[in-house]
Amino acid sequence: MRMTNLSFIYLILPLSLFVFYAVPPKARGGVLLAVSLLYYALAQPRGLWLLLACVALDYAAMQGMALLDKHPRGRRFCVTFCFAKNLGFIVWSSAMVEIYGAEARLGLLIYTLTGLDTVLCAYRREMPIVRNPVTFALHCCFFPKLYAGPLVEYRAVREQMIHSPLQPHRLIEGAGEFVHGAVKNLVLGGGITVVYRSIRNMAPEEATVLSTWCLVIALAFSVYFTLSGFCDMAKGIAAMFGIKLPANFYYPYQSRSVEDFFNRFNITVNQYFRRTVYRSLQEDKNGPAADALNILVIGMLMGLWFGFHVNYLLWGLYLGSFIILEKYLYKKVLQATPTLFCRVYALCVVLSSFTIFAGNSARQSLGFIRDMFGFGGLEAFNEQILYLLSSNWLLLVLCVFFSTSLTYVVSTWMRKLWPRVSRVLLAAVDAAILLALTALAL
Amino acid sequence: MLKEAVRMKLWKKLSRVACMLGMLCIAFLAISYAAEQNSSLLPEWGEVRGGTYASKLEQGLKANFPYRQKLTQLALDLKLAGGQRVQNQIYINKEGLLRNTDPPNKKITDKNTQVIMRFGEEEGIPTYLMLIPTASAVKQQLLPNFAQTYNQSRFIEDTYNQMSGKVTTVDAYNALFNKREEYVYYRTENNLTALGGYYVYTALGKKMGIENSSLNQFEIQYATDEYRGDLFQRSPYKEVRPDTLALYCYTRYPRDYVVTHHVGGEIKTYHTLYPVHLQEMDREMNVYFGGVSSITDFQIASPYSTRLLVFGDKTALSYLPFVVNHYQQVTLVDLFQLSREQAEDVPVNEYDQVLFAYSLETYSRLDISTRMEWILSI
Repeated sequence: MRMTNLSFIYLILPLSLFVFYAVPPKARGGVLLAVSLLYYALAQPRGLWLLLACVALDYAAMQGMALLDKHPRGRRFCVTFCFAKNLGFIVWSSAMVEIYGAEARLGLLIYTLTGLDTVLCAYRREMPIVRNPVTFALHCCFFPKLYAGPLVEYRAVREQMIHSPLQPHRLIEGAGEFVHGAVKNLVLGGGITVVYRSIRNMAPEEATVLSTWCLVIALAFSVYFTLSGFCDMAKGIAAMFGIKLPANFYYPYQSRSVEDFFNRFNITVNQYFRRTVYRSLQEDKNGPAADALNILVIGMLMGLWFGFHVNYLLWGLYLGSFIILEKYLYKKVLQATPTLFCRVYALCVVLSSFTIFAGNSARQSLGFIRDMFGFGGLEAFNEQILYLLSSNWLLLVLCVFFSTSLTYVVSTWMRKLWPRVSRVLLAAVDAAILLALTALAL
Repeated sequence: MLKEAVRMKLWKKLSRVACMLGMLCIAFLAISYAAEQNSSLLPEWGEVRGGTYASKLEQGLKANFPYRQKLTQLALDLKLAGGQRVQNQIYINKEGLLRNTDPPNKKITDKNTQVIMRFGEEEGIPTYLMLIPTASAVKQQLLPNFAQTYNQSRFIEDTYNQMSGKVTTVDAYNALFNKREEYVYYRTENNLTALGGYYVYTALGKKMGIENSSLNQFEIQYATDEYRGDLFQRSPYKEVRPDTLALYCYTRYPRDYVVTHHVGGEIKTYHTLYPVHLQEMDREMNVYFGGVSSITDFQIASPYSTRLLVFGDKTALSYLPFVVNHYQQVTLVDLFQLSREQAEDVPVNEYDQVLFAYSLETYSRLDISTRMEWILSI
């Protein structure tokens, strides 16, 4: 089961929404939790017990902290247990995937990190202990965000999970957002991933300079559209259930700097690591060296978010080192440089980082860089890559177009100019997109 | 002011009810359409636990989705507009749909080659091998620019080289390639047309000692000119013209045919080479001798006394109507439908010639060795 499945869009989602709004408001949290568990049971039944066990242990740790409220050691034990348990689950699951090729557990990273964050916030007394097991469990395993987030704080959604009245305009907006996310994920992300895999599967003797460039660019688009598509769908579904989730991506490929890129790419994950790790490491209060180290740690964690792989780690380190340079070496230069040049600089750094992301080892990544600039003795292009480009030219154009904020600017401008007409027009466009999506999914 | 507030309240309530009804309607439509043709969509515990229920539900819904045909057409048009000339492994072209043939599975082709060579050596019957290329190798003029396909010609040549001295090989590739501008492959089906079959028959004749009949010795009848084959079902591109099913009747020296099909424990007999009545049963391609069964036996009243055993696939539909005229008996065996019991009913030694004739796709993807072992062990 996936959120782009027709059985989900036309059967499970409308039925869930109907039951959700048909029951009294007090019971809605329970209904949404039941829907989330049902979704998980359909998507990956083998992982359901792990999810339930994980959430139950986190909840138990939190109740333990409430019981031992006057005993700092006891509280520390509870939070340490929760930390060790969640980290253990993540490492164990990743090791099973990497070493034994086991099936990755759906949303493991999301529900463990969300549970840990809630327990940590309660430990730091930033919020009261969560007594209601339903809202706690719902916060951890709310089904739309299990794929790619966003990672959201309990405080930000608690009220919405309890009071969620039916608001038709939010339902329509949510449906629109879901459709946009599905297009990003299924059409753009899915399509460009196929292009990426086709290039990746080419025999080494068929590689060319152009194919290496295409490989890197296709991967950059694939990661962005797949993840941001998932997050937009999550936002849309949550909105339909009356919950407002934060954005996780904000046009990262038009960043002005690498730091700006991290603030636009996987935003909530970045905020999560800053909140839990960077702050714990005393931010930049211990001088530039310690701060640089902290930034590198955050960079590594941002890389490890994609999996336990040395190249992901290097990807994070690479981008982290540019953030350090920007912060301590050429901050003023960047500030004085025109926006267009800043964007070109950031895009170059980010695109080159995807050579690391694409490689299976540091050596292969270096090979990609060498091939991109024609030092690998490769041909400029061949018929195979020309065929691939000629078959996917529209997809590539759309990827470039939708990775910029042009559509956002145009729709905002239209809303201001003709509020009513634009609302009808955008709804019609969304309906047409849904029809096209349905056709493509058949 | 009060009226306005009451109106707003009413409007809000109405819109909420509309939303609820909308959600229910969508779900109800989905359920009713899914259940219309497939009543087993309700979950079973084993399916849910095994994780297969979600895909079953999805497939059920997809199969019975309202306006499915039109939506599939829309998807195809959208993809074509995006520049994708290949969809579901099929090259889209107004002049015809061509299936892109994957590179052969070496393990399987080696096994198949070995078992045919063994057969040729052990049985002592003149044995022939004919590998028939697919349309993507012959009709290269219809492929999109820069498209690269597997080199079937080289594969056939390599396989034939391995066979040299043990089995006589038949060059169908050049026979078809030389006629590539003609209607030798169906536009909407991954198979040879009757005309393509005729050219293959001429190539066979040269090697098997058959005196080929010229085309003017046949009267051409048309079963239909609205045939849309398997490729069209997968990629329903409207611009491509439907196919014509041509029936080549040997009128110069008319023959009497008895075609017997062995399907499981059932036997079906037709007293014609072209049972056109099968068209009405929505099995249009079966107008060619009733289709391919595990064993299809042709008894022909002809001046010849030789018997031919053919191990083949659906490409036989195209060339066998020409070949049978030169034999007293021809038996076509589809190894992929053959059961162990049926294998005992194939008395290889009673035949004068044995032909292995497969499309390259069949030969390189499906393992014939196991079933050939059954026949060899008798």
